[in-house]
This record gives sequence, C-alpha cells and structure tokens, in this order.
Amino acid sequence: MKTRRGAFSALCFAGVLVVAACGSSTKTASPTTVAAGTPATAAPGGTTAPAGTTAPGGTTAPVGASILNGEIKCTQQYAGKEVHILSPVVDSANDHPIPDYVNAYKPLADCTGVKIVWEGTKSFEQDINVRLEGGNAPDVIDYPQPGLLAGAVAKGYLFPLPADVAAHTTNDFISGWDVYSTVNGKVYGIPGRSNVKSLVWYSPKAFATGGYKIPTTLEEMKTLSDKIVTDKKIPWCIGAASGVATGWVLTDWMEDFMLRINGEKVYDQWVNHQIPFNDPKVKAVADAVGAYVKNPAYLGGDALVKAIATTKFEEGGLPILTGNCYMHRQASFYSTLWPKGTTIAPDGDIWFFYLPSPAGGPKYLLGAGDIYAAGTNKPESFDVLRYTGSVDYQQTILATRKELSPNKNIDTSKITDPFLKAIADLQKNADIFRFDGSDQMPGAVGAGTFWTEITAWVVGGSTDDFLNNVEKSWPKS
Amino acid sequence: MGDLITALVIVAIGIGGLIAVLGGLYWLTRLFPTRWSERAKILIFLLPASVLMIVGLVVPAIRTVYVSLLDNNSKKFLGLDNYHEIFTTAGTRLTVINSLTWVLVGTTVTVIVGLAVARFADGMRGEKAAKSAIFIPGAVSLVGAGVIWRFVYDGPPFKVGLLNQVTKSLPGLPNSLGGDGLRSWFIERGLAGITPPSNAPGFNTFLLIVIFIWASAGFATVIFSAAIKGVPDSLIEAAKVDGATNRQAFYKVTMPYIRATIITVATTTTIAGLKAFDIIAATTGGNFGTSTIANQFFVTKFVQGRDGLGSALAVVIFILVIPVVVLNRRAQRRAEELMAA
Repeated sequence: MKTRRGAFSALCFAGVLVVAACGSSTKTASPTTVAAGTPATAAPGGTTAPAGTTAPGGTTAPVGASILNGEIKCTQQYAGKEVHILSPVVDSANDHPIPDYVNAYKPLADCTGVKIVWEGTKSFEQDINVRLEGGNAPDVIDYPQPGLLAGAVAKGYLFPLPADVAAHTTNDFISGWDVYSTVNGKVYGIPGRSNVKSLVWYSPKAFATGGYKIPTTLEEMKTLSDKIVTDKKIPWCIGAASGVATGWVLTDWMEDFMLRINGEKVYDQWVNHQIPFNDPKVKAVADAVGAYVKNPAYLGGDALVKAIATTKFEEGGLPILTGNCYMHRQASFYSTLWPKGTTIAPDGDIWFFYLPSPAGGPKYLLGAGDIYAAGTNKPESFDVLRYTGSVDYQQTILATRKELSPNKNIDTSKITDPFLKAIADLQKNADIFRFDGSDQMPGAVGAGTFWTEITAWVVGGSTDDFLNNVEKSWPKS
Repeated sequence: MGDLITALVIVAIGIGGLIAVLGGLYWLTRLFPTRWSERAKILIFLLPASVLMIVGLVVPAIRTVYVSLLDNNSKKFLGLDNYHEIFTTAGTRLTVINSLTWVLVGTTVTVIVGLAVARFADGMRGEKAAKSAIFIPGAVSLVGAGVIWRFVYDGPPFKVGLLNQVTKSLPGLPNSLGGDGLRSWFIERGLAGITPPSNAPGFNTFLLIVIFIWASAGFATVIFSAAIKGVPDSLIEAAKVDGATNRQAFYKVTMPYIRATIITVATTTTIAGLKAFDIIAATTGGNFGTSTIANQFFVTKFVQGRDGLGSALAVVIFILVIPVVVLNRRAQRRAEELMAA
C-alpha cells in the first residue's frame, strides 16, 4: 500500500514536467492575426474538399495563348509537374484544404499544365521549420507573418524572386508590403491576403442624431470626442480582455498612434528595437493613447477605464448599439461580432470610419496578412508566385473567400458586399501599410510584457513604469 | 457513417491490441519454470508500465531540466541563468510568491473547512444533502469554477457582480471595500486603502484562492467524512466514559486516528494549488499581479515561445513539490507507526 501511494504521487508531480517537455516551441500568433480576416473554417456550402488539387483537365490552350497579359505563355510547359504550397490556411473542421484557394489557380493550371497541391496545416510554424531543416522544402510557402519569412531567409532557405516577379511586389502593392517582402535588399515574397486594423466603428444613426461628423484628421477626432463629452455622452468604449493575451487591443492602439505621430520610419525602429522602448518618442505615443484610453471623461468614469482590462474584446464595442458609447477602435474582423440583426451599412446601425492621420499626414494603415515565398528554385514555383500575386488570383479569392487583397489594381467595383468593398477601397487608397508591430517583436515582449504592462498601465500604472518595464524585458541578444 | 466505422475499427484494434499484449505477456510468464514463475510474472507485467513511464515521464522530465539550462531557442548553454532570471525579475518572482500563498492559504483553509463540515455534518439530519451541496463544486471543472466566479467578482461595466451587489447593500462601507458597488475586484490589489507592496500577493489573489477552496473543499469533506466514519465507535465511547467532551473526543481521539487521511488530503491539495492554472486563466489571465508559476509557465512557454525560461518555471514547480512529497512520506510513516503502536 505504502509504495503504491508513493508511485501514484510521483506520477502526479511528474505530470507538471511532462507538459513542458512534450510541448514544442511555438510563439502563438497574436489573436489579432488569428481573428482577422475570414476564419478558415468550413468552405461555403459545407462541402468537404477532396485532395487539394486542380486537375490540369487535359485541356490544351490554343497555341500562342497566354495569361497575365502575356507574362505566362500557355504551352503546357509544366505538364506533369506539381507545385506544393504549404499554408496555415486549412479547413479547421477536417484538416482538408479549402477548395476555393486551389480552384482559383485553375486558369494557371489549364494554361501551363501545372498541378497545385495545397498542404494546409494547423501547426504551420513547426511544420515549416521541420520541412526546411529536413531539406524537404515546399515549393511555395504562405507565410502568415513577415518575421518567419525573414528568419527563413537568414538561414538561407528561401530563394529571391526573379526580377520580373519581384517588380510586381514593388509596383502592385500598397507601400509597406514591399518592405516586409524584402530582406537585405532582395525581394523574396509576394503579398497575398490582408486585413485591416485602423478602423473606428460607430453608429451612423447616433452620429446623425447627435449632429456629429466623421473626423478626417486626428485632431478632429479629439475635438469630436470632447464635443461628445460636452454633450454629457460617452465617446469611447474599449474591451481588452482576452485571457492570457489580454492587452493586445491596447497594443494595437499604440501601433496605430505610433504611425500617426512619429511616421513609419520611427515605427520600424521601434518594432526592431533600434530605439529603446522608453524613448521619448514612444512616451509621446503612450501619452497620446493615454489621452483616450486612460481618460475617465472619454470612457465614462474611473471605474470604466479600469473595466477596459476586464471587458472581453468581443464585447468591447457593443455599447454603441445601446447608445452607451459612440466610438470603438477595432479591426475589420469586428464586423462578424455584432449581434444578429445589426445592419452594417453607411446609414445602418453600425459602420466604420478610418482612424485618421494628423492633418496633412499620409494615410497610414495598420494590418496583417500573408506573404508567399519560394522554397524551391524552379520556374514553376516562381510562376505560381507570380499568379498568386496577380489581380486575377486575388480578385477571385476576394469573391469566393471575402478576403482582402493588398494589390492596388483590384477592381473594387466588382465587390458586391458593401462592407468588404468599403474596406477594399480604404485599403486601395492607403498610402503606407505597416504590419502589426507586436507580432514582429520578440515573443517575450510582443506576446508578453507589451500586453501585460500596457494592461497594468491602463488600470492605473504610470507611463514610465509601463515603458521602462517593457524596455527591461527586451531580450538582450 | 464512414467516420463511425473507422472509429469502431480503431477502437476494436486498440482493445484487440491490448488483449494481445496482455495475452502475450501471460504466455511469456508460462515459459519460466514454476519455481520462478511468480517473480517472472511480476517483472514481466511491470515491463510495459515501466517502459511507458520511462518514455512518457522520466525522459521528458530529464529533457525539461536540460532545456531549462539552455537559452530560449534551445541553442546556447546558459547554466542557471534562467533560474536567476525567475528570482530576480519582479514579474516572475511575484508568481513564485503567489504560488506559495496559494499553497499555504488554499491548503490550510481547505483542510479546515473540510474537517469542520465533515465533523459537524456527521450524524446530523440532512447530512447527505449538506455533503452533496459542498461536493458539487468539486465536480465542476476549475475553468467552469472560474467562469462562475466571474459573475461574483465582476466589476463595472457589468451590473451582475454579486459581490458588488452585496457590498453596495451593506450600509456604511467605504468605496475601497466596494461600498459604491463599483469596485473592480479582479483588478484591485489593495483593500480598504491598504496597498500591498509590489512583491507581495494582492488581495485579488486571495479572492482567486477562495475559488480554489470552493472547488476543493468538497473533495476534502468527503474523504474526511469517510475517515471519521471509520473511527471505531468503541474508541469514542471509551473516551466519553472517561469523561471526555465531544470536543475533546474529536481533537484527542478522532483527529489522531484520521491523521494519515488529513496528510493525504493536504498533500493533494498542495499539489493542486501549485499547479493552479485553470482558475487564473479563466478569470484574470494572470494580469493584475495574480499570475502563479503554473500560469506563468504556460504563458512563457506556449504563448511567448520561450523554451528555456518556461522549462525553468516548470522545474521550479517540480522542486517545490519535492519537499511536500518527502514530508508526506515521513508523516505517513509516523502515522502508520502510531496506528501500529
């Protein structure tokens, strides 16, 4: 009896350790990336996809035909060849690829004879490392995060794009996407899908009743907030609770304001730790954000400022519907979180405006998205990349998956969904794009102290403590 | 339909495989001469469990200790730097202090509550109902417990916080005790104007420990109750004849008699407290100074992807458990000797 009990306890204790040992290292993508865009769930119509392939169909295009304005000749040059795409996009219900992504390659397959094999995986970050390190690189890799792409380049796993493909990255996309696709002056990636964070949700009806106008500059947004306070109303509502990721909503605020106050150069320095986190420039941003998120007048009292930290991000904007607040800054995915029956329209219950830049400043857009890169140095890999970045492909994905494209040449008039069209227009008219900053910082900061310290700050901590503590936690090497 | 058939086939293979393995082992034992067969049986049947234990527990545990000595990419050897970081960084140091608070307060109160209920409910009318009522929370998962208690501790803008409703209805309470019904119980570390220093557990940590006690007291009660019922009536009666009061009989006879049970319950509760993660994840997410080592380990390792530091935190839990096990073994042995005497 004695020994048996001892062994049982030993089992329990060891259990603690096993969890650590069994788990592999993954920095979970911040929920901003996960939540944004259309979730990769069941394909429309609930069809389960068979293997993710498009058959060349045996159709031979007429001699001399071409696609992408003659860039790719249709001579069945890749007949019998396969291009494997490794992607984090997968039907989460059954681990099958989502057919829409593969079907959109049909024109390319018909033209060149190439066969697309889409390999979706839920554990992309581990899988891609195993494949690259094991010398079994996928031909095309769909990176959900530019840091991963840069890491793979640093280890010499990716191939730079040929000049004519690279030119598309530089010319066809919103400025900023090229920065994330380029490492050490060489273009490695071509942007795919994207989503947008710099939105402020509001109720057009409530704005009309109150006589409020959409602010077009950052200064106007401040004036408007003050005016709503004068009218004895609450201008803002925020929810930042998200389990262990609590705080990411506020780090998004910081990033948006960092762009608007200091510009994209300082933004990049800040993200890459070329300026310290407690630099006066960062402090200016914290103060500007604090003027909103730590302002009892803007949120309806001290208790409601603190409530930011305990209000779930999903529920953060809902008070707009009951007239208990007027504005809510949140990414485009929030369109799916409004209760059933809410009309999302410019004259409906809910609509959005662009979080404006200061007067005269460029139109900054904060967001996230995917970049495709080449894991093999083959002409068919590069042609698949060329096609993935093209309007032809991305417009199809927009139509079938309702996923935005950062391609400037997208014809937004073809989009029927008014919300999607408005976001696409916003994106098309943006001047400079920047990727979610906390996603690019080291895990200890971007998924750690930046979240926890900004949360401690909003519930009453000092700005200096917030910035100094994050700076102290930045990994030394 | 196809899925169902696949599932059935897999289950059949699994069970069949198990039977085949056991049968095979049994057949193996038959190969030995009768003289050895008893000993061979023991060794052979221990084999699969030992192998699984080594592959599934011992090797990963050793690997975790090794990884905890490396940097966060498991590349460079750092020695004890990760451990140094745990105890010198304010955030992680507080998680260690919080965990110790969970163990001390959580275990003590759980054992006292469990004993008290078991004692006073014993033989009382409605004993079963009372014990069921206190046991039910133990059947709720700790995440569920956290979610339930959110409704108690919630502050503005939610109007449902039960605790705020109670404090609001009590006359004369200052706002620092929730007199205005607007207190954010999860967030506030201080109470009644007293703010604990940044390296001490806040009042909100104690509120989370209350959830833990609520969820674990039922288990303690049931075990204690069974143990108390196992005390021979003759012993109690003998004590009573000698003039002992009920109280004296409980402290001088019942308590020493169920000592081993008390130690067992205290040990399991201590271990559960050291592993406290679910309640925190479901309520504060470790914010506002409420994180424990187990929660910090999860966040560090699986959210931030810092293998070295995360493994070091796991090892710290393991190290903290060792003295509990040693004390437990020693106390058990003494209790057994006492019983024998």
